[in-house]
Amino acid sequence: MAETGEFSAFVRAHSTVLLRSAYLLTGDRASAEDLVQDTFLRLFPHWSRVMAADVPLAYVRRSLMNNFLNNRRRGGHEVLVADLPERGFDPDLAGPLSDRELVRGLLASLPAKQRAVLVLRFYSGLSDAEIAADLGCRQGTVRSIVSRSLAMLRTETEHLARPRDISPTNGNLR
Amino acid sequence: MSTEREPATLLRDGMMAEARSVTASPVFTERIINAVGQPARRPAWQGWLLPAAAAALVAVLVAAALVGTSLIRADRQQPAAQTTPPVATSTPPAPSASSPAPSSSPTASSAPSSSTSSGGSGPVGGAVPAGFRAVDLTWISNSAGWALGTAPCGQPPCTSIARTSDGGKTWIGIPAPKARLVQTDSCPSACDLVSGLRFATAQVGYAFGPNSLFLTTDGGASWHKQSGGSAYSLEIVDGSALRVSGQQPGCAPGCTFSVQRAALGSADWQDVALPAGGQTAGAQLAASGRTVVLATFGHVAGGAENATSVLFTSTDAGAGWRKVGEPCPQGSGAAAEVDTVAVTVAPDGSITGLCRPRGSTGGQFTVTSTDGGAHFDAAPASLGAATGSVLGAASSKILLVSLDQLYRSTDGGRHWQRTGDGGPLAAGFIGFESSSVGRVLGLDADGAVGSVTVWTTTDAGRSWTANTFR
Repeated sequence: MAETGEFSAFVRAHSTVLLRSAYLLTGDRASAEDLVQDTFLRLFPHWSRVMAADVPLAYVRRSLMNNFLNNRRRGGHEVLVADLPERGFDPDLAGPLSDRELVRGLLASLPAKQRAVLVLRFYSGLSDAEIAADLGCRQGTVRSIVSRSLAMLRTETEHLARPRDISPTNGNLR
Repeated sequence: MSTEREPATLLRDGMMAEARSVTASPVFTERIINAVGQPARRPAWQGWLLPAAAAALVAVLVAAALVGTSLIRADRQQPAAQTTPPVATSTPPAPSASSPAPSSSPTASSAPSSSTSSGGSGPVGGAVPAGFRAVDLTWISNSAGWALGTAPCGQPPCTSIARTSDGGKTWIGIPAPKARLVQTDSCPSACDLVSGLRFATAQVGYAFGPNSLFLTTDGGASWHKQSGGSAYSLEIVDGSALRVSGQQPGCAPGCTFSVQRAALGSADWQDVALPAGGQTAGAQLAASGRTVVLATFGHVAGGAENATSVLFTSTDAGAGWRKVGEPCPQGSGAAAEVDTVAVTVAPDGSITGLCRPRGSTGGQFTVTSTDGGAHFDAAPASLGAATGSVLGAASSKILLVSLDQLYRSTDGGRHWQRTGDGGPLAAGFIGFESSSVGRVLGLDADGAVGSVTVWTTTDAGRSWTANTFR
């Protein structure tokens, strides 16, 4: 079946980029794989409609985002925690590790919709108008979320950059 | 840099680094593909309500499937004697001494206006070999193209060729010359090596490398090794083939290159007169229409100095040549030397080079000429220092370069944007057949040489469609 062939080719070509978006949204690989697979399975019965879109990948990504948000809305399995899970230190990632940790922390602290806005803006590179259309909200909302998130991140980076005080009494780092 | 920009940059870089830590494994993608092939789960009551009917139906279906399969097999066996095996082995040439050399940077071959397709489409072919990865592409129209690559096989050489007649949506495997692929194979002893593929018409094509040149005149059904021939780079220009070859097979740094021309399908190569003074460590030929550029590269290893590249250009299909020298403006101080590391010719005839400061962390930039190489304009150094030397151009303004990622400029190299996740992340090949239609072989996340995906743009790189070789 030609449609299955097209579908298979699309899955093989685009799974990595979709999985990466999903990983940024969900924060863990298993949930990201579930999200990508579920999105593809939902779209497959209407695959001709996907391929008829101007940019099929954009269509699938939009479905993935909506799928993610709907899952959260249904009270899915998201558990927001104050503390980030510990991760092993990978010396190969020594350079970008602090950026990654900051970004991971920021994303984990945000509600699902704000997380989706940031992923679409800073990973997928979409404009305010495109994000608003994808998520069904106003451009002003997108701008506001981006602005507040950047402010949070700036505060966090300034806090990390500030020299730590050394207690004169016990010499421990505060 | 404004305070607004810093967190945005951090967020972007952090997300990219975080995202790159995951890759979709083949097991994962096949799981999705297999999942849609499964029948929907039946409600439980159907299992016991009609057991006898279901069993009978299954029996009928199995019987029908067996009969159908045997008919299909018989049908396939019928033409098998005429169908060439997908992992190509044709016209075995006598092996000659060889040594690997730098592979030339790819540029799509442009369809010459006088190309003479004989109407035939070449061998029937078969399935693309499983695991096929492409390293080079060539197109004679927006629909007809070929990919040179390799696929796992029991006994090398595993070089394979795939052909498309629908713009890259579907591919078939056709015979390839019995030669190893420079990009993936080493040569245990004397053997033939190929690194590039160019077709001029549906029938006439060339597979070439540092120590060998193969010619087909039947669309790839058979390949014939050219006696004493090799080509570091080869392009189809205005109804003839131009090649760059060394003094001897496997020419190492220190030997000189010559440019030769032959009529399409002919083994009679004639020297083309070139101004003296080229470099000796590698050469790349790029062409579109009647504009040709030859870049010869200096040997920059071991602290060698003054090893800038030397370019030659032609606007009359290689009949007459201008020595340009090094078009990249030279810097000052410790990182004074700036070298051209790749060149390309756009369909509008403009020539663009990628300039890299020697051994420094300084930014790279492009130089572009719209007058056949008489003058080059340099763009600001806004490309960063990541290595990579795959360059393509849809016009003098729309440029693509693959460094750590694939970047696109719409203003002649002054500003660059990464192509984003709607397109290839990086490229091993970039070529434009016209000012709007172009192809990229994406670099896959697994880091293996070659690509399983060919990306096509029909709007000069603004958006991309991915197809796999199957």
